[in-house]
Amino acid sequence: MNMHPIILSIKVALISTIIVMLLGTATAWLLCRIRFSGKNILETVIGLPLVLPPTVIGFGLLLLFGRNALLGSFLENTLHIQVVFTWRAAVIAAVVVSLPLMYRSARAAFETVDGNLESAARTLGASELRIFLTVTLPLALPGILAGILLAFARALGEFGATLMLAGNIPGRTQTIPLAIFFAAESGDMRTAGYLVAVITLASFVVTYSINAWFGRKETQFSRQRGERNAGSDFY
Amino acid sequence: MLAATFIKNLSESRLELEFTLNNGILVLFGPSGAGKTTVLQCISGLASPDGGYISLNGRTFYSSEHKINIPARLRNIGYVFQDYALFPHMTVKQNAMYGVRGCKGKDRGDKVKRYRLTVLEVLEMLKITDLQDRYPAQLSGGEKQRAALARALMTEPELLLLDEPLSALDDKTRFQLQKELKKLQREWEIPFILVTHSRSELKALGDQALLLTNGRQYRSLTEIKICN
Repeated sequence: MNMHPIILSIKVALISTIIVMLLGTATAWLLCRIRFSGKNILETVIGLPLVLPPTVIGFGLLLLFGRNALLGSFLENTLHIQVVFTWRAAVIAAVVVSLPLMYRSARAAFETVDGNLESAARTLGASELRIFLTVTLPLALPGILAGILLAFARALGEFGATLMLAGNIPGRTQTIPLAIFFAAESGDMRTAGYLVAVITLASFVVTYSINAWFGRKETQFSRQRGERNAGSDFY
Repeated sequence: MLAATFIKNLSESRLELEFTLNNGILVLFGPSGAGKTTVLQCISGLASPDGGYISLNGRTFYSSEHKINIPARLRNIGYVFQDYALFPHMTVKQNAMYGVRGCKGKDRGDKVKRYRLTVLEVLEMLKITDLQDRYPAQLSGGEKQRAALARALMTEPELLLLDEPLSALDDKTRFQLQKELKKLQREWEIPFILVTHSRSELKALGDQALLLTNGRQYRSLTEIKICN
């Protein structure tokens, strides 16, 4: 059995989740705190991949990262980093489609943190960074963890944009969803079925973990805070 | 000494204040919505006035003329919030210690040396030593109030602000804490500003009172001696 799609999918999903975790949390924190004109437009752009067809995202990414495109040619000719038809393209596609899930979870989580607690920390002499690390982040952690798991599951399942930007090169860019599609199309139902089982199991475990985590947290926190936690309403 | 002369525009009215406070308890008294909490926020640095001057013991915290506005974390003012604002993920002891670790380097050395009291002494004074490993969710209203007081006092503030500290408590606890607050102020010898809408608290606690009433302009009754 060819293990390559599984290994590649895990690698792509892990790398993209790390990027999305940092990017999504930082953006959510900043957008929670600052007001500027065009904030709504920025939030809409971040959320757009949730509703756009994956082919549109793939097309847009090709316009950005294609060999003759502005960013793509700069990366390839100046930094000597090839993007299209490599695993990097799969990571970029996964980042774009999973960022809105991370951003929304983190944003909702930060909004449930009582602003008075941050004010109290301020009067106790804490810097903004310390407030974030010791008050805001620990209290928002359940929602942020949910966001990370959702982003990971979404990255693992990414198909359309990946196909357009990274192509379907067995051994190089063929992730599990691509391998399933092309195996089924060529009538290799055994391979397709095996990969379907793997990705379904992985998604089940992720979703189950979120539910179990929130089930436990809710009994703990409802005593403590008397309210539901951010992110729990995703499922 | 606290000297405050400032204006702040509220949504429907305008706050105008002028007062000084040397020691003792100043009670900010007035109906809900009169801007009492806003006054505390302006003094503590959590909100900015729209003009004027605030200084404490010679340090200018806010001056619209000189464009000075020291951030809240550098003002060394204790603030006990109306809902206590205890950190729910920390124990009473961790809450009390939060402000102590805030200072770094030379400041920290000085501050540690200068400390008259350890966290245990403060908890003992407020009679919550037994509760030090509990989380805020496991405390009663009165216990939360004591924990919030301990946390504010651990930073050795030069001024303590209390926003309706007793309003959420039952009569017995309120009476008890009233006496203790008064005693605490006499022991620590730092000025307290206490917000309340209760006339009995005004009488029981106030050395001075400032009346805030609704209207276009706020009438301030500065330095009215009530008790002394």
